[in-house]
Amino acid sequence: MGEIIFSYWGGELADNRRKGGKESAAQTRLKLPPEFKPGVPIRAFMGWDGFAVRDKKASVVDMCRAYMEAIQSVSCGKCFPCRVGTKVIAELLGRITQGTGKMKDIDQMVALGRSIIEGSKCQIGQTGPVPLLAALEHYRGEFEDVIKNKEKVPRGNYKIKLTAPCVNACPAHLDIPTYIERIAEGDFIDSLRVIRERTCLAGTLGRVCIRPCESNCRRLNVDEPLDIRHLKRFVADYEVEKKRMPLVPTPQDAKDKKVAVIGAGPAGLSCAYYLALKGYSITIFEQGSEPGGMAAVGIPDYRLPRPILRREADIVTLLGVEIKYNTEVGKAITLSAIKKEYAAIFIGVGAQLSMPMRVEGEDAGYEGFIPGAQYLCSINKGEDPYSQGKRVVVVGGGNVAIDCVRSSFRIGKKDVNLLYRRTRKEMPADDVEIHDAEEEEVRFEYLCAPTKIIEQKGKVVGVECIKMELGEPDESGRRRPVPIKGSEFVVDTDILIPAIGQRVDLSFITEKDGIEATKWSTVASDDATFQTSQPGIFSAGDCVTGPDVLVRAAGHARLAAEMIDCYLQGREVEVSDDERLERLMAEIGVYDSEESIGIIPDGKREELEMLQPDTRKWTFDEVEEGFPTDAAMREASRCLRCYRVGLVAIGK
Amino acid sequence: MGDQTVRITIDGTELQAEAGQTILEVARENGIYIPTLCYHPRLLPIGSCRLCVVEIEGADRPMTACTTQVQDGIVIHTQTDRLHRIRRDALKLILTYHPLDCPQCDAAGACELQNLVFEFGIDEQEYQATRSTQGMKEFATPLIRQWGDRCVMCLRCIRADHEIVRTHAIDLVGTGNEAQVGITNPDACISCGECLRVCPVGALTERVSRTKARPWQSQKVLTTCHYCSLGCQLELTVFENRVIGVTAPEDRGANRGSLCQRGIFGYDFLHHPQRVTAPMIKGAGQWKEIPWDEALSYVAAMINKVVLASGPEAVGGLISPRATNEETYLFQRFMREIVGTNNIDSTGRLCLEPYRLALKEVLGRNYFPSALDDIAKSDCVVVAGGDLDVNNNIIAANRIREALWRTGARLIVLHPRQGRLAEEADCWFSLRPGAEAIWALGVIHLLLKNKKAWGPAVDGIKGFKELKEAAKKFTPAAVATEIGCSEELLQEAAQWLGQARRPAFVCSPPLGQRANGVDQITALANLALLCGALSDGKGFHWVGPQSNMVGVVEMGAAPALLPGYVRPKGKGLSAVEQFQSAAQGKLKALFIVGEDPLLTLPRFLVEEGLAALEFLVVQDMFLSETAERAHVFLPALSFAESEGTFTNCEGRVQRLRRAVEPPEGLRWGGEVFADVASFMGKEMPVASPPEVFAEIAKTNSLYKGMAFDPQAPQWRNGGGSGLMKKAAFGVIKTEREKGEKGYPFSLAIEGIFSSHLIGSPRQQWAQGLAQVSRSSLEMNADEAQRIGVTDGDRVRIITPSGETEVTVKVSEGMRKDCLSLFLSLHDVAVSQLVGPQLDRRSLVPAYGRIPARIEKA
Repeated sequence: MGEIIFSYWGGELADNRRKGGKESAAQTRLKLPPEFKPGVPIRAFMGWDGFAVRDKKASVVDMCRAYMEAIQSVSCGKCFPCRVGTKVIAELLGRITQGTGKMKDIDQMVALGRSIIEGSKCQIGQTGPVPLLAALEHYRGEFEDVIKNKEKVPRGNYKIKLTAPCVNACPAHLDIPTYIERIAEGDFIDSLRVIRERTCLAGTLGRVCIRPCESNCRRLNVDEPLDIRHLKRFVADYEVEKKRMPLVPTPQDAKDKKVAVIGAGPAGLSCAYYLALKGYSITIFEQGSEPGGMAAVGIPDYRLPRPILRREADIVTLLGVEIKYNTEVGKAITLSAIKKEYAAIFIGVGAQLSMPMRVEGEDAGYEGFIPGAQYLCSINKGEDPYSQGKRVVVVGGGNVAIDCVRSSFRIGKKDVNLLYRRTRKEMPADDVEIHDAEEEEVRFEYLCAPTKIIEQKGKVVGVECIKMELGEPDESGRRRPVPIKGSEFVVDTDILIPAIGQRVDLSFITEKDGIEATKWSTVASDDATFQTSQPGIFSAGDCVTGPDVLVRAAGHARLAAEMIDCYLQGREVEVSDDERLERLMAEIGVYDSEESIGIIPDGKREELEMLQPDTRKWTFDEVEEGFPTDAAMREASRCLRCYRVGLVAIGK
Repeated sequence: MGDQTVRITIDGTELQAEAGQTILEVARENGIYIPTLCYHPRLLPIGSCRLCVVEIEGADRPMTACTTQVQDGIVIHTQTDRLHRIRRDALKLILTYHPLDCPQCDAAGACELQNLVFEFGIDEQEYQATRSTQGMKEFATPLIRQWGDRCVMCLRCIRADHEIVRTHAIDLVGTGNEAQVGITNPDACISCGECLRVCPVGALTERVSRTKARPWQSQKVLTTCHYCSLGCQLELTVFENRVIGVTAPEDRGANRGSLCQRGIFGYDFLHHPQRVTAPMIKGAGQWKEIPWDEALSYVAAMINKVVLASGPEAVGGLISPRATNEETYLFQRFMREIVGTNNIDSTGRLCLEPYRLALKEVLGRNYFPSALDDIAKSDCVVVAGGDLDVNNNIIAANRIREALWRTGARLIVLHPRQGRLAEEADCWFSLRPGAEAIWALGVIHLLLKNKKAWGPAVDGIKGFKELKEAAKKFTPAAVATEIGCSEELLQEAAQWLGQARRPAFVCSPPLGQRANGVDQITALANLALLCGALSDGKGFHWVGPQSNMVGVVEMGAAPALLPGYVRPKGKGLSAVEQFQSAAQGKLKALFIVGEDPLLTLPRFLVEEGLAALEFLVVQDMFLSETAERAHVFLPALSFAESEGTFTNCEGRVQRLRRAVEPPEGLRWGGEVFADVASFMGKEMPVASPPEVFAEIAKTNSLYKGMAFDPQAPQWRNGGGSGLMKKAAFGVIKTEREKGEKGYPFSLAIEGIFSSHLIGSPRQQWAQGLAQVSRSSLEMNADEAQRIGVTDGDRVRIITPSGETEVTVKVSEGMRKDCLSLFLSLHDVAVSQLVGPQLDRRSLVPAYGRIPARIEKA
């Protein structure tokens, strides 16, 4: 399959139809991969910004018909132009492809199409007729021929996808515009129902998600993105505040196969949730006594109160999932024993171990040297990890490091420092978190790294550091810190906390289990199918990716659950068409930060109320208060509902 | 929001607006026309019909005026060629499937679509699109028909259902052009007619009246609803001297355009064939029509005879809380001046008295200037007493719902049953009626610990020290055990109330209708005083089941109150006492206006009393059960035929206007009383309602200077100033209730007073309502299982005073030791369950707490 022969996308035209074979084709703005999946070519694509044709055999007329029918079928039925107008056009195109169209239909479609684009409420109608109008302009001849010759156009083979910039960016693909619309309408419980179709972690994600959706929010082009994360939190909290039983989707009929899930963290809970909804009987093996995994041990209560995670685990158990706490796989039960009893296994153990700093004295077991995750874990259990210590130095720039410093105040440490080898700009932690820590008066030392632990009688008394400067960017694009020779200095401290990253503890897997690991000592699982080297054993989350964001673990676990279902039902374990389409859309680019929206800014994003820094710094009470109802509804009404439809014409 | 002024320009005119207002709101305020179809002032704007699009300079896309908020300096154009084209196209699209059956459509002439099509001069169906035909169907309630093809999908009905009533009986189903208004949960429908009311076209029509008329053939008469004490403003549609429908103007009264099931559908009794229109006298057990003069002179002679033989104290009078202020005023003059007795009462007083006495204790006054509009602005609402949703006060419940999303209000509900409001509550206390005082003291105990939670200058109020002392022992642990809730829930409620800037209490009977009932309300009022709900006069609401509950008491229909809450010399007999006295042979003649005590007062007492009476005259629209026992029957005017005023629960004094001419010869109550007086040889000048009101406005300090037909809404005097002058924390007793052996349940009757003048178990005069409204006994599911009954079974309620049969409704969310009997239209003979014990202070029977047991029928 060759070059793109025609493309009109985002107002840019690349028409190669008349060019000779040798002439190089005009560059197209639309990046269209040649194949939908191995062996299935993409003949053409039609979407919100135009269309592109790669194969002459693809009929643009019929694609328009299919596209407008798709638009009509996803039109919510509320606004008049889209609801009725796209139906009128779809029927006109239906007539034309049946060979009974009239010439005047073309003009009527042009006029009506323009009117729908101009008059519709959301992006379904505002973008729906865009490719049709482009086709009527650039492929008018084809339409006229079909009408003149009264020919019946054969129907093409299409894959259709409804998405939105925020939905596409979300690793879990939550149906964001719909659940936000429900909030704007005051129907909070139904909003939560929509969220729970895709995740059981509404309250958790509503607090700690890094929200890729918000940086892909079209509202950003007008004023500020919606506070999608906290709207999700709002509906999750609403259910709790109103003392409602958790609303869970109705599972499918029970299936007779059992699946074991290792780890009750975000990945494990999500995978169990989906499989339970599909009717499987699930057992989760969890080494700790609490659900939530790294989200429970690694995220302090002031950001993610424990009852939230417990409730979300309750939602999973409501579906019949059994969680066996205090059951460490490898000790209490072996993987091979599990394998005998369960038809499939999902490994979602996370990345629980701290990365070594590679400094002198790290392995000497000095008192006061406490890895970040362990430090947070004991604080979250309500203990002071090292009560003799008063001064705290945390090394690292990620969220765990920030959580360590902020938690230190909350167990009464007064002198709290953070060392980071680059500058604030490069810090991977959430900017909001850094800002909050600054407000709470954590002392930040940028551009320095520890070199040696200083001890007295087996206790930490200080850390020797070296100043750094930023050099050339590394592969992550951040400038690489380089030590400045002779700049060593000492910071006095009683507690030294490395928080520079997490790694996976694979000790529960024995050689006999035959599950391969990567060179980074993570579980080797297929990018697309989440299968490990052992059939029937799947894995996703931090134990595969290394430390990553919660929503990705949740999203991958959902996909892994799909794969496990394929495996157990004897189908080929492969990525679903829907997920392929979502990825294809991502490749094409659903969000355009340059797009002009054409409306005036209409009110700012609602602000959450926060406890004052001087009060909140000493307590584990949640720092941010949720949205009150009225603010949530106002915030939700800012949504532009940017749904859009992509249509892929495939070969074969 | 709202405190910032912005300047905008619409169509070249510079205007001032408040930040937070939408462009449409500002335009309408300034008389600038922008077409709309999906917009409705009571509903959240959705910008779906696209008719209100406007062009804003700087924005490429037209924006909807209903959803776009004004911002300083924006320049708006509402009439451009482009906008005209967009609007016209949107309308043309609706016409692709809208049937052109205007000639036979109910809405023709009052149809918003028709008007728009006319305005835009659309004269052809340009586009075609198929849509499956819907035909005409019964809607979520049998009282409404749905014509799906006429629907323009403005979604107002769905939004009214979801936003105002929050029943979710209907929803949008399907997508694209096949999307339609579907009945998704018919069981949730409460037939409130809110959907019907907001429909802009003829897609929803009512089916109570068989007679239909075009808007230009009929008149609309603004009047006041005669059902409950909210005094909703409504318009009766009148055609050929018949009421054929009810609507409500958006901008008037406490209801602001909303109506409940009764208000909108409960009018067919007005033209019921069994209405009695001539005076009758009973001879040999047979009723016989007689001329007015004959009837009135006979009544006069009989009263004179009793007075002569046994003195004026042998005569009693009862007047319905659905009588007008003018009738009541004249009736009490008749009883006090012509007959010479204070033996006058009304069941309206039975609903108001416990509240009045509690107010008297805590604020040193008889009434409280509360406005229902303030409920919607409150940020924490406490609901105590009746279930407002079931109990005929749904308009008040809906105002609370409004607060939930308007201000993000917290909601605390005290009721043994988990009703709809309880489901939406942050804190629902499944309280045994009578435990309100303990609950309030528990919350007071917690609030006293936190000064920030107090209203202004609370510690300076009289009785504060005593309150502190009294609340000491009501620790969360003690209270939680006593009332059966968790300590956390109590703490949470205290937290919400403590944080609230505008707390509001909404109370209603049967709260207080029991022994020591006044204490329950006093305790709640203490709490309200503590958290500042009373200081601005906006946070303590009392809603009741009868339209003129407040008016009749303020007009002096009370044994110990003259008009204007003035104490008379001496004290007459209360309603129940009159029958007790009759049974003892002391009271011999009784004049009943509109009351049906056999249905509302302890029945066996009433039976005994009636049997012993020498003379009973009843004035009513129908031959009620009590009227059947009378010697003389006098016909009465319906509310639609009456001129006069009602005073609603907020203190609004509102007009009743004559919408239909009464049957020939019928006269208003005032004239009847004056005629009887003159036949008695005494003088009571005949006066028209406006003249009587003028007299009230002169003599009753609460109504001083008021007009019968005011220009603006008129409120009873004595507003918000100086409210706290006599404030004091009331002293309350919290005796532990003794159960009665053999009666494990505590039964509360709700709605016993709601059906005056319109029916009885054997007489269903309001036939429309009877189709959708049935009485039911709510019972805990486990308890029901124990005696082997399920939903819909018949059970016998047995109390120490009597028994009756009723359909049971089994509910998980019902307190185990409680029963709630929700009465509708008296299809259950319930008065025989009520015992003779009266609360010693309010003289009210214990409707709110009756010992009971249940057997399978």
